[in-house]
Amino acid sequence: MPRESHTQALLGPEVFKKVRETPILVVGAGGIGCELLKNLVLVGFANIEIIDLDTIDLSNLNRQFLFRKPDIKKSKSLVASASARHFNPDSGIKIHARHGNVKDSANDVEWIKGFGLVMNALDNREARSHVNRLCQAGGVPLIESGTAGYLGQVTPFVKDKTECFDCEPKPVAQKTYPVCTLRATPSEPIHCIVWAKSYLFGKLFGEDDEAGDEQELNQAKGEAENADEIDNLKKEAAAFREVRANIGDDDGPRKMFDKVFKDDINRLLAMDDLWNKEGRVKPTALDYEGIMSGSFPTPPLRAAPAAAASAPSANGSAATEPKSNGAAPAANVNSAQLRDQRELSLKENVELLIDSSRRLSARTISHPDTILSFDKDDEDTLDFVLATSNLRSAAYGIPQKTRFQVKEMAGNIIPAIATTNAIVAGFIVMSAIRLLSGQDEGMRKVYLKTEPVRPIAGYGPNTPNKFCGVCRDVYIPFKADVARVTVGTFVEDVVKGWLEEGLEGKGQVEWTVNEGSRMLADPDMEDLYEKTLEVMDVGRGKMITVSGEIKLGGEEEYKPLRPVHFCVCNPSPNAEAPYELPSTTPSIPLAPVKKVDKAPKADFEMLDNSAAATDGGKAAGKKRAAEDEPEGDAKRRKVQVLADDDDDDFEILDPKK
Amino acid sequence: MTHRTPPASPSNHRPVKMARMSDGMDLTDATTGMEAIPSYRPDAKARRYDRQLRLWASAGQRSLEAARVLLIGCDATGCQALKNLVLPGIAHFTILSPRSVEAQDVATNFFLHPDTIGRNIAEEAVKLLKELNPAVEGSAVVKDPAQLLQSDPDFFSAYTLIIASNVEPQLEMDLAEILWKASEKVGGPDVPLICIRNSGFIGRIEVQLREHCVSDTHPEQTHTLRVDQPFPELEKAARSLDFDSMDSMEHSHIPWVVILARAVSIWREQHGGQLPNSDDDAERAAFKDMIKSWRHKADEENFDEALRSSYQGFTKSELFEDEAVVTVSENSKNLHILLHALKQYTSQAPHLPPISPTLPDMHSSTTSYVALQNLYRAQFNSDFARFKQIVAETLGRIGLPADAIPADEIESFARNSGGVQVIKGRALKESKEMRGLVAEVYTNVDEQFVDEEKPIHLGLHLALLAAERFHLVTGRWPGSPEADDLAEENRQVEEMALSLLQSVVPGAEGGPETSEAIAEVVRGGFSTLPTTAAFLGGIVAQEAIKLVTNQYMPLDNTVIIDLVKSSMEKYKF
Repeated sequence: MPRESHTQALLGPEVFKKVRETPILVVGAGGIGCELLKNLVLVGFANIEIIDLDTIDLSNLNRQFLFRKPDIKKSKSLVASASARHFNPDSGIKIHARHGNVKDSANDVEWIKGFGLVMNALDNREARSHVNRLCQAGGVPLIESGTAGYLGQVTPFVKDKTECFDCEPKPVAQKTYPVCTLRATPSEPIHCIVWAKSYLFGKLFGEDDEAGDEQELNQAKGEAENADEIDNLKKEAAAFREVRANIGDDDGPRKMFDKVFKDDINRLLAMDDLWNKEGRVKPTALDYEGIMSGSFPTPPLRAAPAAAASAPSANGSAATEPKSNGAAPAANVNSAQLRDQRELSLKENVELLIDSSRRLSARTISHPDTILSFDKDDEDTLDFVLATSNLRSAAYGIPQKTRFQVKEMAGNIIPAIATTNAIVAGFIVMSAIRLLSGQDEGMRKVYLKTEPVRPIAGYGPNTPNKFCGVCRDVYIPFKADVARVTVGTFVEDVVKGWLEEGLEGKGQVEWTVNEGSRMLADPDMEDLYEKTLEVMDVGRGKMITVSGEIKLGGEEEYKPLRPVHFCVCNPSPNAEAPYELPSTTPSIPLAPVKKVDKAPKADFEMLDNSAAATDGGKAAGKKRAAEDEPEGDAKRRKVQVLADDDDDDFEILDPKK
Repeated sequence: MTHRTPPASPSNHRPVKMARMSDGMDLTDATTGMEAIPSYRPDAKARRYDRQLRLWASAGQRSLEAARVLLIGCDATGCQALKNLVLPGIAHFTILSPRSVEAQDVATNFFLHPDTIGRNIAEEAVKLLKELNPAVEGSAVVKDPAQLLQSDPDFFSAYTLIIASNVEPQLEMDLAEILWKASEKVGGPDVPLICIRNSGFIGRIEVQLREHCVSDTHPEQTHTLRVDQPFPELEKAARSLDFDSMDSMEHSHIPWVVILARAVSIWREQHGGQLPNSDDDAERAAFKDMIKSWRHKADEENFDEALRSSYQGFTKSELFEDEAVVTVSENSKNLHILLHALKQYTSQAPHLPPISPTLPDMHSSTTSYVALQNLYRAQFNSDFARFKQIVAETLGRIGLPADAIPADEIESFARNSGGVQVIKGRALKESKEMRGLVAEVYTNVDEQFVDEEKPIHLGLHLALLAAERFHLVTGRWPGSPEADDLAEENRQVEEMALSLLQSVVPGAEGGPETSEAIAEVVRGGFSTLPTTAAFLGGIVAQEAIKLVTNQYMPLDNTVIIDLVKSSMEKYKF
């Protein structure tokens, strides 16, 4: 009995034929990907390719239902397709699973053109943009989707009919903090966590970027941050090199503790200027022996005002009661509580620091060529960040965070549940069916929200943004034997000889040829003419961008044309010519003139995960962050915190109200 | 300590992790089997549930892990809903069905293996669903639900929640009625029933419950700031501000809560203790003018925020009233005991729940924000201490140990006590009779239908009700494969719809929307499309999780979904 009989009747023979025959690409086999694959198979899609570079983690199993515990560490795409196939072994459904990166050069325009429809089930913007551009270049419809907690959305992008993923500029999903706040004057738990994860960890176990660090500090100095403070930070950086070299010694971690939590803090304390500002609280240097023996008093929390001090002490609030160290804080121990939601004592943090440093240094010794980096799912690195951020918080009188919270704040974790993914994946396939049957309804975008009154809302479709630098550009497949095509041939024969011939209005044209941000040629630069594209590393999967400026007859000024991207693909089998071009030249419109550069919308707080702690962490929201250092300006050098959640969870692209 | 492969070089932006298809070693077992997990590390369970714990917290997870769910009607939609409940870790599920797997089931239900045709459907589905999460217990009961309802009605009340997926209309009504009657008695079981009906691209979910308490509604306004009745310390701080002596920096960074509290305090003083009357435009304007008069410059964002939130100054904080939780016993749910304690708490001045210990983000300087935060935190601490005392006394009085309710549950209840809601549901029978909303809408049909999307959803509801009537009469669904004349069935359903409508609104007409809706519903033939099943399964499980965890406002009581148009509407019928 074929599984699809019901569906066949409901969809009608014509649409169902398309469902059976259209080659579908699913990018991502995570939360949405698993649900999607199941739906596609059930509806009767019979020609599916699924690609994912990730492997299965225990924390996936609460929603990625095609995976089981024994699958942990295996390839997501391979296991997902095996599970789906096992369910329906003889239905004639083909699933081609690939463990790899969609951004690999083999996944070029010719490859994407082999699909009738692409579905993104991705977890990061970079890959989303990449697939979007490929789909625009190949003219393949794309259904984009995302979930975050209870929120979700599905947006179809159809070339020339709707906007594309990049039509709307996306706000930067990274929160930045001033260098000095992180390194010298933290005032919130997140400052200490970012310091531990992005600075301290790198200094001790990660890539030792001496030059970059120096440059960052010099730049900060140039932008009028406190000069003494910067010089001080430079000294600190130099001292790290010694500690790093000896971290594997028996007393290495202990020396590190003394340097970071005693000497460095004492040095900062000696700088009176630093502490003479409103809102600044002097830290307390930590004492190893004292903490271990229980005689070191936990520094009081900052800004404990009279009102809080007079609050009833029986309330057990960890935030207002200074704790004696050594024992675990009694108020926070509860049998029903999860173990990683317990606050550690000062002593426990020190022990954890020593222990995790030993584990990490053992790893750097046994794998000297592998540079460690923070990964929220790598217990050793998380332990280290947990311990060091809490110790730093303690020194600065900042409230402690639990392991659960630090993981979320450092790892930019986006909550994810089965139900939202199920709903969104249901919508994706509905959208796909409608697109295949040629209904305009298929181009509507759908949002899933938590509003009780109207939990689902459909919009659009929006029309393309005429300024969009992705979907409004011109794309040309360029099948070439890159060993036999030189830059000069490309400029003279392909650009001037072919592309320019197709221009409608005649006039003077000047061309600039780039690959990414690298310039290959322009009217004043012909140095690379002799080099082949192969030598220039312009191979399959790359795009050569040709930007022209035209001066039409009778006009004074040059006007820019829309950029043309030549997508480099493998030559056709048995091709004799070094390259092949389409039979007709494209028309290249003038680029529209943009009047005022509009900044990305600011009303976008969803992605600000690093600030979204489970409790009062929200208080550290972006509005006040700017006021933390009232003397500072927007020009100040910021440290970027990468949104590096590598799970299957998703960002919401555009949460409309 | 097991050595993990260190992460690849950071220069490779997203390193491809090595896949090991042949190596089935379970890393969790490998690392946890040899040595105890350090006390600060989460166990395997917490790691599995990590991404959801961040959404509903450990209190929500505890409730989920105690939930027992019954599914009647083992179809694709029902099994998808169960999948979404087994994954996050309910305690137990039962599937009740005496029938055998048919070819159609295999065609739509992911949780039935193709070679199981002819075997019992409940047993086969339980087998595959259990694989999703070893921590969840699943069992099949191979009995006829209708007979069981007669012979052993208590069987049903032993569950936390029941899902009836596309069961025959008669059984659905009988089940709903038995559950509704059982919940009538004080202290009797009040088992929520979620009913699913789908036909092709159309779906409907109905929820029957007598009473439901939401301890955490997660409202847009998450903070009970109580600006309308500032507590003494807040009022003191607000009144002690000296606007004129402040520099522009300081003045433009006074938190809006303080500005508003000051305005309220002064207004009350000038108006015999009364708040501005929210129905009086002039008073509202005068209140806002007072705030505006304190501005130094027109572009002070904190004053903009205060003006935007000025409604909080003339909206009186109110407390819900509910009779049902007056009596508690040792058998009462934790939530009921907490509600009971809250009621006692608010019987004393200022007759309001504990204040919020946290503040929303606002335009302010760090110092003034922290100071305000500390005021609220201190007030919460004092409120909470009093509340905890009352809970302890209550527990003592009904003979329960002092730690019967976990401390963090009491605290999270107190933190959210401003958002506590009690929902009074309606019997399914009553809502299907359409006497309320549907009658009202169709009586004033011309005035009501301004929004174009509404009629189609109400029309769909009417179409589904008429189809259920059709099933009661003929014993099968309109448009099902046995139907030989689709147009004739369509006409019969239209007739039934009209007579249903006219029974509540004499002389009413369905209109073209209803005919269109009936055509779509009959065309669907009450078969299940896999995408509809996936979608509805997601919504149903989401509602079940809300009900089980007592978080978020649940559906009360009907939602109608049109997947042709990607739209859905909620109604309280």
